Amino acid sequence: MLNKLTKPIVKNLFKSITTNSLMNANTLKFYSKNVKLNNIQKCSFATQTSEKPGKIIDMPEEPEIEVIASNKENMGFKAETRKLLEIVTHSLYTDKEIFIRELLSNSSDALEKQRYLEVTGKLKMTGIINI
Amino acid sequence: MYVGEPLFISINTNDKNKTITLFDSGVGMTRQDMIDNLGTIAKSGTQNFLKNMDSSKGNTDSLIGQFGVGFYSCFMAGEKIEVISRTQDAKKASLWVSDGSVNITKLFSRVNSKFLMLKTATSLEEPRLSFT
Repeated sequence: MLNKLTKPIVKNLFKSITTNSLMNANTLKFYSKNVKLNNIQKCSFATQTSEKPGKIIDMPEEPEIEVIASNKENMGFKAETRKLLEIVTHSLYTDKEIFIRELLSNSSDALEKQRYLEVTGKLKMTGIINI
Repeated sequence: MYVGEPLFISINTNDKNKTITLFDSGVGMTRQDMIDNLGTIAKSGTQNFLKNMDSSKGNTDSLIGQFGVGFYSCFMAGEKIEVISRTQDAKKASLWVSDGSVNITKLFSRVNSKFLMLKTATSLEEPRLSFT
């Protein structure tokens, strides 16, 4: 939206605001950043008191509103292991007996991994084949 | 890994010691596997395995593990959890112990494979549930 805020649009907007005389401020400022050109189009409007209404002035300085991106830092999440373990053991499951299923799942995976590694020749066969 | 045995899982209970022993003849873990997978919550060894897996040679759907949290559910039932494991080529097994309430205690000691067999032998006395 912001990059489409061209001069004519802003002009009309300003007109509609000022004509319904709800404006008390002396100056109404609009900042519009043109993303494609990667520059900031600076426009400000003066009210009837000082300058011609709807006049668009290119602002000499950078607008005050600016994202300070120099201190940007990527932060990972940290977790307290003890608390997390408490949540896992006491809140994740409703029934105590679930642990049998979970351990069986783990065992099943272990067998599946063993089988896979045997089939792909990464481990030697362990099963006894009775003929 | 239990060399010379077909792939099987056994579950045994001990009334006297009040323990439940679950044994499988699967791929097994090294000491480092235990540190990486048991000591890190929500780290799924299966998902890691899947990444390196050639899907043309194995059925990826048959692997269950997803989130790496299932194991910790045994802390709901047990005060102390012991994991003893050994990989096929390893001569010694590793032991992982934790009480789960205060901290995940990682007591790693190299356990002789005889100890592993002794431990599992008690669970093998019973007629075991096995499938190849």
